[in-house]
Amino acid sequence: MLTRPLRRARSGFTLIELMFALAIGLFVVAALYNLFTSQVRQFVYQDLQMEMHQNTRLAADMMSRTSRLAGYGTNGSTVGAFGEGGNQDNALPAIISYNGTGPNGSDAITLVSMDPSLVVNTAATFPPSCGTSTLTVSPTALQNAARLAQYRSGELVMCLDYGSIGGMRSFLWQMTADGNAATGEITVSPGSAQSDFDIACPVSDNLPLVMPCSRAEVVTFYIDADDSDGIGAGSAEHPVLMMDLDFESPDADDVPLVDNVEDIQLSYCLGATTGSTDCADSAAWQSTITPADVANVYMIRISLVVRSSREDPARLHAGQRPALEDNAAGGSDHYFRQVLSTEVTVRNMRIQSVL
Amino acid sequence: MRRTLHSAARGSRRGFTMVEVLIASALLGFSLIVMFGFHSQALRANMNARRLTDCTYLAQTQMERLMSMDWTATALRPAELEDGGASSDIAPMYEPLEWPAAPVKVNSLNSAVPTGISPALYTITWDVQDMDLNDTWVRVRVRCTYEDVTFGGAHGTTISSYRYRDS
Repeated sequence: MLTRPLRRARSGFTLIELMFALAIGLFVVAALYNLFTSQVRQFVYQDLQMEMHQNTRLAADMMSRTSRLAGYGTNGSTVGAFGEGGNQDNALPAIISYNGTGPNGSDAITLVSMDPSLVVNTAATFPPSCGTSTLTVSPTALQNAARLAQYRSGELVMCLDYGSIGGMRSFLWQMTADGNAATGEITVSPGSAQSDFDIACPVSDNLPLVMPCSRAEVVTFYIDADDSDGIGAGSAEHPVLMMDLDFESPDADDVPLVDNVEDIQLSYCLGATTGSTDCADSAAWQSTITPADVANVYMIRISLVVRSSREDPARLHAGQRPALEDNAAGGSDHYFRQVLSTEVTVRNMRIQSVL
Repeated sequence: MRRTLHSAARGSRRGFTMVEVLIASALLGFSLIVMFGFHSQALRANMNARRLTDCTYLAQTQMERLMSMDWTATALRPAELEDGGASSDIAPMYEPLEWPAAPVKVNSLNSAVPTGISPALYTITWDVQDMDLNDTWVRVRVRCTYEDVTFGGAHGTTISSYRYRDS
């Protein structure tokens, strides 16, 4: 009575049954495994691409906003450059283009603007030589003291000379101390690289008696893809969009802005000094400009190639840095890439163009 | 005692019934379907985010071009772009605006910038309206639309700006 059910219960699976079940089980596991790995791969792809999109947007936004400001704050001046005709020896052009000088044939650009809310006039009792290290304004006049308090060491100050016979001149210095609201003194470094633009004012000459001065924003965007120089965050595997704020680049104090920006291409739509220009016509665009062109720039086109932070780990995605503007395509690899192009009207140049 | 042993022994060796197995696998199947749904939803959202970014930048670029033109009241008025302030052109959300008359799909507004995406996806259209009778200012609208080819449906964005005429 006891033995029968027990024996039946111990009978188990036959070998055929077991193998059959194992085979089915293996098939199911294999299918699930495939599904799982493809899901994981898709997840990684999405992650890489999402990061890439964000980088692209940030780079395009930062560059287009800064470009739009170029030439702003020239104290109501109608010249696009901070000087007559944009003569680089006399005055700092509002836009300086560097064509194909960066890694992978990328372009770079310097954009200049001034802060009109911080304009101070140098005191008439101040006739220093061009090699001076101190600019003096009257601390009691208008809001000079409050404005001077916002001048910070390491930032740039630019003064304009509207009365020069050869046309407007500009002088750019780096401040070596915060603006002194009590004495009205701005201490500057006369021998810095920025003094390239005071060639018009040899050390033996004197500066004009009264000049409007303000804090200058001189922003340079470039790609750093070189880690052998020990400067900047970039390397060949990790190109970085850098932002330089003191007109000395590449430099250790430049700001790493956006990761994995592989190529910047800049084009400029130029028009006649008066009249209109059709920037929809590709013939109106050129890949570089001289300082003399600056006042006639209507638009700047900023095109970016941003890639994923690393290659497709499965090496399935065939990538290549695409040809863009006047820059040829790169070699093949497995990065994901995004191209974004935007055009910016440079309003402060256009003011002059319309007049 | 014997009953208890018997039933316990039988119970422990009983395995699952067919119905139990079916319900379990149905549950597993449903949850897998739902989870794959999440995943495809994420893929779709990510793709749409990218399309919309491209679309916005294309529309902004076209807007910049229109704004940079000379908008004088008389001689240099780009007459071909205006509709004389007609109020009848309130196009439905994803319908093209008035210009150009025969819109084409593009991926880039300039031939020097290949995007590497194929085929062309985006339709850029715009219109310009006089805001008053004195030729003081105009309203410019630019619309970018695209069709979601994988999941269907039209998407896009419309940006709008005002511009005083040049004197």
